[in-house]
Amino acid sequence: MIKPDDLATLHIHRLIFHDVPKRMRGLEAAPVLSEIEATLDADRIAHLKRRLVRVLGSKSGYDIQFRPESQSPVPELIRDYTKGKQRPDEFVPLSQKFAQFLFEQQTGSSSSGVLSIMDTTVTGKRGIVVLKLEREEGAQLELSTKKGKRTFEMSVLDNLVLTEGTRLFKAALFVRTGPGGDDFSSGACDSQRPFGSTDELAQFWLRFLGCKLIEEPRVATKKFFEAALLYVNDAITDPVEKTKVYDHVMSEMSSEKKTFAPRTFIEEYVPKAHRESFESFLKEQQVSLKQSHWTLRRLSVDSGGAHTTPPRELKFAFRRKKQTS
Amino acid sequence: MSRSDLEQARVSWLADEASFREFGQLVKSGLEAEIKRLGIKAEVSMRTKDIDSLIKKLILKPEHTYESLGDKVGIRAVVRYQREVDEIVASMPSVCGCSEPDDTRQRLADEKDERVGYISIHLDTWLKDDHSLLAQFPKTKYRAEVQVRTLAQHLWSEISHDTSYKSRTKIRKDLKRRIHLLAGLIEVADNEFSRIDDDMSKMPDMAEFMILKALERQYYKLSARPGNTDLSLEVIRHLWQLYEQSPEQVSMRFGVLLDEKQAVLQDVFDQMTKTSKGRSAFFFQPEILLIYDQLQSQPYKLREHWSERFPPEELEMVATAFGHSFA
Repeated sequence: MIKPDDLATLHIHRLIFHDVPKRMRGLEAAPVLSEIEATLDADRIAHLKRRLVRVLGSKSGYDIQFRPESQSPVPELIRDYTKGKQRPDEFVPLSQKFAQFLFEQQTGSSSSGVLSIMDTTVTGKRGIVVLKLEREEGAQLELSTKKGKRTFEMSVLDNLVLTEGTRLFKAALFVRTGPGGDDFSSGACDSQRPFGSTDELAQFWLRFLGCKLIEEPRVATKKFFEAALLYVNDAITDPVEKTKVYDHVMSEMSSEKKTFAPRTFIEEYVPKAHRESFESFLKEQQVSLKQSHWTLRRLSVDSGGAHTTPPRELKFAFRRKKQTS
Repeated sequence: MSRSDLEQARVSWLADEASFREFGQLVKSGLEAEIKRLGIKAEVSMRTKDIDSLIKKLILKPEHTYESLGDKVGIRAVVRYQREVDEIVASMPSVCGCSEPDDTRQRLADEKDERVGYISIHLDTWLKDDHSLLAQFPKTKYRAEVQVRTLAQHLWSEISHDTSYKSRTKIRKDLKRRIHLLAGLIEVADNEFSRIDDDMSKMPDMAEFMILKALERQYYKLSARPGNTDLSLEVIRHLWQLYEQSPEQVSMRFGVLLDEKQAVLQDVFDQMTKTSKGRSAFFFQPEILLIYDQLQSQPYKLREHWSERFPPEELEMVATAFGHSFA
């Protein structure tokens, strides 16, 4: 799980860009790969880091882990590269493998983009950031040559990454926490499409990364629901407030949205006096505060039922809590 | 000292000055690190003697040779309060090898000493026996004089340097009395500054000052960059009651916070030092620790209160630096 202290102590040591077009049947296309890493100054690094914190630490970020059955080479590349000491000479070839695999995956409706790989440390622990930025079809990225090797101009960073208006971000951070193959703290975010969407595109980023959510949305949702009702019953004494928050929990769960984040719920519906203690309570109950929760509507789709039918166990809990309240 | 000795000293110093400067930087860095560890606000400077001063000193002090002259490198730490002088002097042995402090308080008490003036403490220093660069800077040759003073002592020293107060020449009794009075006045000022500072940090009805003092004590462990006191007081006044605790309880939080989070905080401070673009104006301020503490414990209340008085964008920048996203 990526925590604020991890993001605070994130250091970017190396960065490289590759231009990865969409693979289209009948058309010849190939990724344009940088051959050397980009040169960064302190201000650009700081700006880039701020953008990453805003995205990875946001409510729509989610905690992930490697998926054992994944066909993606990404987990193995990350495991291998972050093992032992930093090996600067292996960074460029590593990043090119990421780009090549992304190109192979980028078919159908997934968009062309600029892929950036960053070699990082977090409180001294090795890490990798993977960032994909969508760019307009046909937009040309400036290439230049340094020491006889091809690289992208810093205008890529300035125009695509550091522009506050750029919203189409897919990002992931992997931090090695131990020697084992699964000893990683990892988080991701797809600002374009939340993970809960049913369409293929929403799953694209996780599939490319070879990852899955650390907690099944079904479980996360159930934990939130149970914890929220416990808090409403035990901690809110004012009957008007109690009813209001209870109603909000119910309407959030049964809303037309597909996903929700408890942090957003707190900001929007929990009375000011209860926000901190409600959040603390959720943390105590090990409820994730990020966007890893599905509404009943999404859960219904997941369980193959009709759109309005929540899964049986949650539906039961929902009804039971409503009665006892 | 003969003319040829002086000429030899001149040649030697021209050859040695660069290495003494390097040595001085080492001692200065060690002293700065120690002052930071103690959480004291200080101005630390280092100089090597210029060639003219060196020759003049050898002429005035014929008992010295080029080799025995002790203050070829001078390092000065100027602090606000006398107790901080004492703290730094007491911890000098952990920084480097050093002599017993030469405290002018002792010398001025000696009735036979004709000099008049005010307190100043200095120590002869050298690299410790286990220092990795001892072979490059052997203690028989490389010594630095470290002076630790309050601002008031510094004022006296700077003025007296340009006058004859410190000279061994007999001074007329009426003048001597006036100089003593003046020195006493500065000592009283120094003592009063210390007492006022102590009192202000203990008065519950002056909560902002009490909390600022507590914050400063921890903040200067992370950065030597002074903040804007007016802004500090304004932020503290606006935010401290979010704790719903007494000023004493609030003041005690920051030491605990630093014990737990010093590595993370230091890392973020170091990053912020390297960049000025996109850094909040509130960052290099002692109350940044209060803001960080609130971000950790009650971010919702903090955001709400903050935006009543200060630009929300600034808080967002601070939060991002500490790994919190408001998005």
